[in-house]
Amino acid sequence: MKLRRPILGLLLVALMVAAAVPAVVFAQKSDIKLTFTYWGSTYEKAVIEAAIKSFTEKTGIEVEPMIIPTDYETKLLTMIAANDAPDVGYLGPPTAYKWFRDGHLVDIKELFESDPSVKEEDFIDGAIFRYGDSIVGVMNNLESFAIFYSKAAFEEAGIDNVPTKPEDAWTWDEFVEIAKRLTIDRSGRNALDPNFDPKSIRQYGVYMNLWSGPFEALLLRNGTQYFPGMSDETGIGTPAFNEVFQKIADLMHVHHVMPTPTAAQSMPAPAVSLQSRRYAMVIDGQWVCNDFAPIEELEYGIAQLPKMTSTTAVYSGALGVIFSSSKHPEAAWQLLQHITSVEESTELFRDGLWMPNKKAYYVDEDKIALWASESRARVPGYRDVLVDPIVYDSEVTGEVYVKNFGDINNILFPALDQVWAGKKTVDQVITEIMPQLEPLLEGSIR
Amino acid sequence: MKAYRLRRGAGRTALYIAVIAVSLMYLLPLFWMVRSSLMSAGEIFLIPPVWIPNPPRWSNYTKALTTIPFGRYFLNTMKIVVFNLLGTVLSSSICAFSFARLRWRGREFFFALLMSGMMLPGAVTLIPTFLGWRAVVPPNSYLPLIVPAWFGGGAFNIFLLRQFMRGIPLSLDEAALVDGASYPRIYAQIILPLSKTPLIVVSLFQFLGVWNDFLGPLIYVNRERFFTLALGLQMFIGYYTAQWELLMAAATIVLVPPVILFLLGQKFFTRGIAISGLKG
Amino acid sequence: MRKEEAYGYLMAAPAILGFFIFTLGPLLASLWLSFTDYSVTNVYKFVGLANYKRLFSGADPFFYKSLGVTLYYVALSVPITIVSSFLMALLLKQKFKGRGLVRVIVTMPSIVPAVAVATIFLWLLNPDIGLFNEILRALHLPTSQFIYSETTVVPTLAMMNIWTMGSTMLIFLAGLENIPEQYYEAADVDGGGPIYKLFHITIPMMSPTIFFNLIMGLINGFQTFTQAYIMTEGGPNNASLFYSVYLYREAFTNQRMAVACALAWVLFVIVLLLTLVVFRTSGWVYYEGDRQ
Repeated sequence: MKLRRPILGLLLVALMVAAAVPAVVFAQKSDIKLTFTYWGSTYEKAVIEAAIKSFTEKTGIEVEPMIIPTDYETKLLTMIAANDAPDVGYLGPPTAYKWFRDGHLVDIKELFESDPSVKEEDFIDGAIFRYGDSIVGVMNNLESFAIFYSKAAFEEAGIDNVPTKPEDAWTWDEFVEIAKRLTIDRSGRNALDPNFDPKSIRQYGVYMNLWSGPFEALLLRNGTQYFPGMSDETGIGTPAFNEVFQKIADLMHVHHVMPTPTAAQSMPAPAVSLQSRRYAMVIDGQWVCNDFAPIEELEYGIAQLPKMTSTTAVYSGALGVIFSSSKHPEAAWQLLQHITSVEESTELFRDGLWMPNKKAYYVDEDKIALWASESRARVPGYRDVLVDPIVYDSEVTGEVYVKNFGDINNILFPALDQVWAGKKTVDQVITEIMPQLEPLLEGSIR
Repeated sequence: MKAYRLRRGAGRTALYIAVIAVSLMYLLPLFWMVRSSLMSAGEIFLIPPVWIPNPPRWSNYTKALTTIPFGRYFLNTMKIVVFNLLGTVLSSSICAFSFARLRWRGREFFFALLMSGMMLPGAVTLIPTFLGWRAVVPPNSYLPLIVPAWFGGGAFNIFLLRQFMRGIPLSLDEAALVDGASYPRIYAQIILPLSKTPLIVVSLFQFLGVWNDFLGPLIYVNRERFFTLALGLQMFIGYYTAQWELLMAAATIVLVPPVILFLLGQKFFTRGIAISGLKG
Repeated sequence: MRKEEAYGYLMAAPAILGFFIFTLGPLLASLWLSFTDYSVTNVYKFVGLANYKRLFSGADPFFYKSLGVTLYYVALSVPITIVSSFLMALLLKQKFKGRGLVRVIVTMPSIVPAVAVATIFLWLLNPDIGLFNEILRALHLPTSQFIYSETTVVPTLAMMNIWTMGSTMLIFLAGLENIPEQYYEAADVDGGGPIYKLFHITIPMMSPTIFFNLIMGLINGFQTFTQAYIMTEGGPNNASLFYSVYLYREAFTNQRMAVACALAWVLFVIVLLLTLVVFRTSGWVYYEGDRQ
C-alpha cells in the first residue's frame, strides 16, 4: 500500500495554487530565479554573497541566498516537506545519498555532459559523489588533516627537521617520543623525565578532537578504514582498526602526552591553546588555518601526520547538490561552478578555509599560487603536507561510500568514551558493541 | 504586622546571611559570563582563575556588535514579541477564566485535551505544523510565530492562570452577579485585576520564550534580513565557536533587555494583591 | 442554555479552537506517521506496528537506555526543583532591603540564552580546573567528576536545575503573594509559630501552585533537551542520552521521522498516564474558589 501525504494533500493543493499566482505575475520580469541554501560563518556569508552578486552580473540570473545558521538539515527537511525545496545548496554526503535515492536530487551526470566548460576528469576523483552510473553531487571544496604545531614550543624543546613530505613522516614511535619531549609539567620536566608528574601538566604534547574525521586519517595510515578500499569487508574490529584507537588512548593514559576529553574541555580552542602553549601540537583539519592566521602572537608550523603502514591522506568535503524540483538545473549547476571556483571565492581558499575541488589547482603553478602561496594561512610546508598528497596519494572519506556511516558512529563513539576514561581497552569495547554494529555493516554504497 | 517577617535580632541576621549567600550563588554564573566577555581567550582559562579582567577588553563588545546587525535583529524580535505577548495575555486570561470560574459541560474534558497538547515532543509536530502554515502564509511571515498566541496563548499559561483563578473566593463572583454584572464584566473588573501577579509571571515567561526561541524563526524565516536576535546569536556561535569571549559578549548584550524587563516586572510582585481587602 | 454555560463556551473558544487548528492536526498526523516508514523525503508506506516492535524488542540499542536515563532524571530533578524553588520563594517573600534586586538575580541564570549558561557551567563543572571542585578542595570535601562520569552526569544535570529553576520559583512567589494576610494574623492570635503557619496555612494555600509546578515539572522533565544536547551530547557513553535528544536525532539527523513519531507517542502515553495519576490523587489540592 503506497500513500502520499494523505492528511496534507489538501493543503498542498492550496499551496500550489498560491505558488502559481506569483509565478504568473512575475513571469516576464525575470526568467530565472534560484534559491540557494548554505551554512557557514558570517565571514563565509560575505564571500559567498559577493560571489553570487558577480554571478548575477555575469549571467542575469537572480539568486536568493539563504544562510541557515543552525540545524541545517531540519530546516531543509521542512522545506522539502512543503514542496518548497531550494534549487541548489550544500549537503552532507550521507543525507545527499538518501535524498538522491528518494528522488529529491538531480543526477548531475547529464549536466556534466552538457556543459562544455568542465569535464569529470577535471575534478579530484573522490570529490565526485557517484552512485551507480549517476552523480549525486560534487564536493564544493576539500578538507584534509595535518599536524599543526607551536614553533615556540618546538624551538624550546630543540626539535627541528619537522617532516613535511610524506616520505619523511615520523613513525608512530617517533611521534610519541616527540610528543613526550613536548609535554611539560609545572616544574618544567618533560614526559621523558623519570620524575615527570602527569598530574600537573602545563603543556600537552598533542591534542586531537575525537571524532571520525581525524580517526579516518589515521586509520588510512594504518592501512585500514571503516571499509578499506571501498570494499564490502569491514575494517571495524580488525587489529589494524582497533590499534589506531588504542594508540590514541595510550597517548592519554600510558604516555600522558594528550589530554583526556575531560581535561580538554577546560582548554581554549586549538588556536588559543597553541598560542598560550597549552598544546604543542594539534591534529586537525586544514580549515583551522583560517582560525590560526588572524592570531598574530601565534607562530605555527605544519607537519605530516605520522605514518604507520602508509602515508595516504584522507579528504572530505560538503557536497553541492541540485534539487529535482528546480526548474532551472542548468542555471543551478552554473551557480555551483561559479561560487566554488577559486577565482570567484578566492578569500575562502586563500584565507585558509577551503581547498579546491579541481586537479589543476594542485598541479598548475599559476593556479596553486592563487590560493596556496605563502601567507599566514598558508605557512611554509603547507604545500608538501596538504597540497601535493591530494593529487598523488589520497583517498576519499568513508562518509561518501560507507552505508550507515552515521549510525555506526552513533554506536562506536559513545562506547569509546569508556576507553578515553581509561576504564576499558578498545578491544573490549569493540567486542561488546559488535553485536549492535553488525546489522549496520552493510558495506559500501557504490 | 507581616506574618512571615522574622523577628529582629538573630532572625534578621540569619535572613541577611541567607540572602547574601543565595545572591552570590546565583550571581556566580552571571559574573563569570560578564568577566569572560571582557577578557582575551587566553585569560579566561588561566590557572589560578583571574576574577577581574585587567584591563577590561571593551573591544570584545564592539566586535560582537559589528559582526551581526544587532539593531535590525532586535527590531524583528520586538515585532514578534509585542504581538505575541498581547495575544497571550488577553486570550490566556479569558480562557483561564472560563476554565476556572464558569461551569459548563465538557469543561474538564477540554481542559485535559489542552493539557495533552503539551505532552507530545515538538520535534514530531514541527513538520506537520509547518506544512499547515506554509499553505496559508508566505515564507518570512511572522504570523506562525504570533497567531497561536491569540488562540489561548498556550496550555501552560492557561493552566497557570487557571490555578490562580481557582484560588480566588467564589463569593466575589456571586456578589457581582447579584449586583447584575455580566460574566465578561466579572472577568474584566474583578478577576483580571486580582490576577495581576500571575499575569506578569505569564508575560515574563512568554517574553523569554519568544526572545530565546530560535527553532521557530529558523523554520519560518528564510531571508537573513528577517532574522531574530536568537537566530543571530546562533549565526554568531557558528563563526566564533573558538572565541568564547565574543560569544559571552554577545550573550551579555542579548541578556540586557530581558533583565531590564525583569527588574521592572518584579516591582509588581511586591504590590501583591489586596485580596484581603476585598474579602468580607 | 444557561448564561454561565454559554459564556463558558464562548470564553474558552479561543483555546479550544486553537487546539483544533494548531495542535490536533499535528498530533494525529504524528500518530498516523508512527505506523509508516515516513522519513519526510520518501514515498512512504504503512508498516503497522513495526516501529513500535523495533523499539520494544530492543533492536534499537538506545530506546531502553534513553528511557531509563530520562526516568532517572525526572525522579531526581522534579523533587529537587520543587523543593529548592519553594524554599527560595519563601526566602524571597521576606521583607529585606534590595529584595527586588535579589529576586531578579535569582531568576537571571534562567534568562540567559541556554548556550551561554551551558558554556559557563562546562567551565565551572570541569573536574580539573573548574571552580566547583576548587571550592570542594578548599573545604576538604571529596571532589566530583560531575558531567564527565557515567554515574554522576544525571545527578549533576538535575542539580543544575537549582540555578535554572527561576520560572518555577516565580510561580511560587506569585502564589505566596496571593495568600491573604489575615490568615497569618489569625494564626498569630492563636499563637501559631512559623512551623505551624508553614504546614497549616502556607502549604495548604499553595497546594494549587505546588500541583501546577509538579505537573509541569513532570511534563518538562520528560522532554528535557537543551542542557544535555549542548553540554554532554548524550555522553559519556550515553549516560545522559535523554529521550528528547535521542528523538530529535532520530527525526532529523538520522531522518527516521516515523521512528521519532513512535517514540513521541510512547512518551506521550507515559506522561499522560503519570499526569492522570497525579490528577487523580490530587485530593490534597485545596481551591478556595471551588464550590462545595
